[in-house]
Amino acid sequence: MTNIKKILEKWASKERIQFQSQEAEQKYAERAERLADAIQLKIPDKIPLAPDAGLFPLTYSGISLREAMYNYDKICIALKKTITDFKWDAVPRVPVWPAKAFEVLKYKPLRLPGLGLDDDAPTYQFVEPGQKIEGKELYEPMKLEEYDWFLEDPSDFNLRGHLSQVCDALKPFANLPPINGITCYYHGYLDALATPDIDKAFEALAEAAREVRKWRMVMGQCLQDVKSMGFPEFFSALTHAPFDYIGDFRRGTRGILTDIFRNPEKVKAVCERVAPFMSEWGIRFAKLTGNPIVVFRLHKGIFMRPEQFEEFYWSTLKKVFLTLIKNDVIPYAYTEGDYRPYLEIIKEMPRGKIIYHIEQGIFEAKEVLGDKFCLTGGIPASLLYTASPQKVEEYCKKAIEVLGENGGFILDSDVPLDVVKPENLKAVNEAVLKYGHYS
Amino acid sequence: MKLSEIQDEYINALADLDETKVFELTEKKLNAGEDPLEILNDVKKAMDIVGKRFEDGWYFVADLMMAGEILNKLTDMLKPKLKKSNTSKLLGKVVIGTVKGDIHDIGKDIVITMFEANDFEVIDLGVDVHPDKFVEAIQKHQPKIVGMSALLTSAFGSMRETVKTIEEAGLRNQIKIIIGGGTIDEDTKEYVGADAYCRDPVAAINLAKKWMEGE
Ligand code: B12
Repeated sequence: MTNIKKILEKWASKERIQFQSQEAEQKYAERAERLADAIQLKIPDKIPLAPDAGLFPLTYSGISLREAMYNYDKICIALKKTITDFKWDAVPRVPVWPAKAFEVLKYKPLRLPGLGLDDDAPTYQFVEPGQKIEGKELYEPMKLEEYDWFLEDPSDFNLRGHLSQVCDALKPFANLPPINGITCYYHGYLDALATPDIDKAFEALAEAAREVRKWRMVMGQCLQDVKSMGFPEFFSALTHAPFDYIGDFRRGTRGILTDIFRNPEKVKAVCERVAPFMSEWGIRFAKLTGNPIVVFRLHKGIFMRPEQFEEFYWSTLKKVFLTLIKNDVIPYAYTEGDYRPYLEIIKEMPRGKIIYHIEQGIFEAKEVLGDKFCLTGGIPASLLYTASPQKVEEYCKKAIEVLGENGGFILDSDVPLDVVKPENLKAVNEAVLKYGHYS
Repeated sequence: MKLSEIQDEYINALADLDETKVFELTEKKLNAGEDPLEILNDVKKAMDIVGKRFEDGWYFVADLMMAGEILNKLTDMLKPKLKKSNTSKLLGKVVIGTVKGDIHDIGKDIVITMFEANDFEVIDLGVDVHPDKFVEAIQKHQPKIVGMSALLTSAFGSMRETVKTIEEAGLRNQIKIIIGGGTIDEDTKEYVGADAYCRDPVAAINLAKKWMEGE
């Protein structure tokens, strides 16, 4: 426990923040302490409120996704307006990425406003390998035979097999010779790269990376600004469950879920192979960002029976969790979908070392997991979309009383908000103000 | 082995999703001259068991997906062997799609498999379906039931718009609208203006059968 305390003290540190005012500094400290208390299963002064706002800051500020994905300052304007008006305990992350980078790479999985979608589309679309849009596969999934390629040399598969498949501009990579066979005899390794189309592919890669850097600079400055206004950042880096790494981005849902019946050993072997990479990724980016809380969006476990979940999904995911924990990282596992069948399984983690977001059935989850882990969630986004403010306030009262009991709880929406009524979010604030104090 | 035992073995193999065994037995049955229609009847029985196991919380989505896979392969294999007059009677037509803005289709595809296994003809409009496409499909196929799927909160608005567009085209009275997907509940149904919502495909089929009888 002292370990966690130290990690969180560092996380809450006000060093290197130039606060706008004394009040902002004080608020920052209060908010960070509130969150840190909840994470350590202690009782904070009042219930922390930290919604995953999704694209709500854009809709709320009247900025279109298309505008924001090219003009990064707009993302920051939306974020500042939202956090100023709602004063949550943590800065939400706005999932808007630099469209130009994807445009340059001709990255197929992401459909964006004006790039596959109508100009005024309110959300982006991530399309899985093998998924059909207008009756046609947008891009091919990794093939069954390619499991062996991946197992033998994952880097080679990712470079020549995967990137060339998902980015049209990187198609020439498919024609690279295997890098592991490259000789370094004077110009030997350059010969392999010396074709015009490979040259072009590298140019595209560099251009996309430059654009990402531009976006990062704006977002980094923006984060400093909102911190200086008194709002801490909850989490930063992200990594994946090994099963999702393969399922979400390579084999697709249909692919991997039929594989567990037809080729169970391959699926397990690949997940084992991937697990150390996912750990390394999480640890590396926790260090790089200075934020020790690392998110996992858990996707494809919910499709399996509990015994299959344990065998194919959890067995490697738990290794990643434990490796992160050993390296002073706090995993924040964002369960998507209904986790009620798996609560006893995920309970296996060490007490207080991991945060669980619960999307569905959070009242049951509180009973099973509540005294072992900090939980987040509680407010259905659909309620915020369709109901009246009174109904929202009533619901939040119950959520605060039952879920907040004994601390160890952060009030959050069940899924990212995107489009909800602002007056309903005000009602959430009201409820926290009225019922959220512990003493 | 008695005929009824072989039949049980077949149904059980399929209900247990034992793909290899199912195809071995299907070959055997066809070679022994069994009527493909009879085989398809057994397939339907097995699919009922699969649906029941799902309802009971034993089977999960992966199981339904695997059952759908086997089912599609089986029907591809058996359909061409059926005599024309011999196909089983259709209960009715359903037009179904994931509404505009949303591309989640795992749930929708499961519902489609279950409808088809229960003798409905399904017209699948795919994902990200514009309201006008629903209207066109209703005009063209004259279904009794229209199903819409959505998992994104932001797509609830599309559902509502789709219902409105259907209304404006003067088609609302000739169809029943059922919605489903993710967190959809009674409130969503009211907001959208649908006739029913279902989280569970078996319940949806029972309701659809009732609607077909009621007409
Ligand atoms: C798998 C998944 C994906 C896959 C989809 C693959 C595919 N081929 O469909 C991928 C990775 C592509 C994806 C993409 C995205 N997703 Co997604 N996804 C999910 C996830 C984890 C599971 C959905 C699922 O398939 N469930 C299993 C099926 C069987 O359940 P079901 O659809 O509810 O269907 C059942 C019933 O509802 C019913 N049913 C369904 N449809 C119908 C229709 C009728 C007529 C009837 C009668 C019944 C019925 O029968 C089914 C069987 O029981 C959910 C989490 C969740 N809570 O659901 C998020 C989730 C839906 N996704 C979400 C989001 C935000 C996205 C993305 C925008 C980005 C992202 N974060 O990944 C993109 C964009 C997609 C878009 N524009 O549509 C959010 C939505 C949040 C919100 N504000 O609404 C969720 C809730 C995750 C989360 N907590 O953030 N996703």
